[in-house]
Amino acid sequence: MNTITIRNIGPITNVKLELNKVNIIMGPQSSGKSTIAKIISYCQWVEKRLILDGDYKDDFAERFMEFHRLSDAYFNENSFIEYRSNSVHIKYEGISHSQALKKIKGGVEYVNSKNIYIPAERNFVSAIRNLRKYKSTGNDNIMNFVYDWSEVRDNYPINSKYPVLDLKVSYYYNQDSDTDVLLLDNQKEISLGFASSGLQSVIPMLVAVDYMTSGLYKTKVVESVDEKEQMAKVMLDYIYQLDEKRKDDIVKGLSENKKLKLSKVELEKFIALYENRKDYHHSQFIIEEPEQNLFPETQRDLIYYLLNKVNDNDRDHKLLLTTHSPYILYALNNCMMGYLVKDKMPEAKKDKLDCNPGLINPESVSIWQIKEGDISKIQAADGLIGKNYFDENMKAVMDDFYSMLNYYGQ
Amino acid sequence: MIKTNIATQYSHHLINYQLSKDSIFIADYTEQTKTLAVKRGVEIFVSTPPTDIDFFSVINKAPIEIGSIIFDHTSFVYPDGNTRSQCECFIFPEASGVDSWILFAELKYSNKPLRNTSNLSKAIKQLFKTRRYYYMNGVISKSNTCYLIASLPMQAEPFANFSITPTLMQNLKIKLNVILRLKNSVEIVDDKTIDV
Repeated sequence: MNTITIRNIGPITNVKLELNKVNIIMGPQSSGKSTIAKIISYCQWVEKRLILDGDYKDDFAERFMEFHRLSDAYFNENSFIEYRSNSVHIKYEGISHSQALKKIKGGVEYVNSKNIYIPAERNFVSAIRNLRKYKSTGNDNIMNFVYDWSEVRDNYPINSKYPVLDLKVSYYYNQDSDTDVLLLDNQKEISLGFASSGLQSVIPMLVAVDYMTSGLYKTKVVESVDEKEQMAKVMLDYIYQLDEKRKDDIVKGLSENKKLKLSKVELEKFIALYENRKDYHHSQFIIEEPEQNLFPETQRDLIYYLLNKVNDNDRDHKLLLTTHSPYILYALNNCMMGYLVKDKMPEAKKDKLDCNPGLINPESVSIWQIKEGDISKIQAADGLIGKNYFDENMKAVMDDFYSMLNYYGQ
Repeated sequence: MIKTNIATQYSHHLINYQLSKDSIFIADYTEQTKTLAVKRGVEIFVSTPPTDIDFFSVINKAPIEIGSIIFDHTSFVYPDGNTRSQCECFIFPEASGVDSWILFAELKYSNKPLRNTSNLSKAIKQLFKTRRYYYMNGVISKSNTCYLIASLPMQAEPFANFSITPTLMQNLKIKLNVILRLKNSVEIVDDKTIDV
């Protein structure tokens, strides 16, 4: 698993996480949930650029703050970030303002992924008319989502409209009028910009997830010039390192346009190296507060849907959510519980479970809560949810309630 | 007043009646001693809690004089002599009036949160049933604020996997003058109120 260590950045004191397939970070307001999510997203992006372009020349902290709209007050001389995957080792140390970006084994194990950060401000794309004409002077995480959204919605014309959960409404994009349209149950249409805040928040998220777990993989990836050049270099490096003794012959042979003999294993690795980089193999989603503006039942259905989508047997999609909703947490718990008991339940009963589409192995899920700058996992030994501060907060609310209940009804 | 009513309806309950102006701590040794030669049951400790078992606390900071009764298998019986479903103990202010508080407590010794749903559901049934025996026989009335407390002494609060909605609690208070909570300790404020 990839790991991330963060120290002394914003409200974060000391956090070290091993990133699982599904990751949930819970915490109160301004506790650092989004800071962690943004740092992970940024490290994934730097990893991709370092591998596919061959280099990353920007100032790590400066570019991070600019892209994710964070103040430099977030950083100090003791700030520290370290990200490790099987392809890169990224390290930033505030004390020396140094950054170290290293490829592991030349990055040969890297598998190209589509990474998307879905910010809390995602309803921006629903509320702004004529989005195509909207111009921004900078490229931050909101604008980046605008670009992603513009790419995504082109794939949902009226004849490929998207049914939104169980909400009796479908979405499509009218390219001629540059309008996001909702088709209601009564066949009337409204613009997404006039829809409820919940729909404005949830639709861009759902449609993006739908596209990036299905439609995206039917399209051809267009590489940049840098990516093509880097690909060629990597392929050649691979060939050169096959056999040091043969290297000179290989170089000579290539320059004379001679055929190169590779063993079956070498050839398979060569092809895998190319294919792993050229196309997207899976998607990595980071979503801030998916529960925004949503009724509890819709929050529940949303989780079942998201887990269903990332649980694709053919692709190793990954999901990270930041949340402060107990409904999100307990819906996830249902999906893990369902996985544990699925072989013991009668089929008829299992089929009736609302969470059935989203069953997930608890071993694939990591749930953390942040408290006063530190992070801890809240799962019991079997992976199900243990004590957490939604329960503690509920107790605090109920303590107030009980002190008043003595006087109620008199 | 309540003690007088108990003497009238259930005089045998007063055999183990205890009076105290201190805090009291209730523990149930039944499980712990069931294989031993000397078996123990529910016991009340005054002012100092036991050190060999987890317990339920009634903190008496007021302090007022409180009476306590431990129920056993002979406390509430069917005509055929079989024991009725009941809770562990009953506590009330010694100088009780028509609007004094009363408290019924049931302890479940389980350190398995996954069993909380069944354990606490059972405890709540036992509490309501015991309250009903006293209510139907005139020992207590609706003017006594009735605290029904289910305790899991081996677990820390809040107890996992069980919750009671505010709506239900409001209904219980309005209709029955009952306050139901899942707690390991309560604090006596005065003869009319307990902080739960």
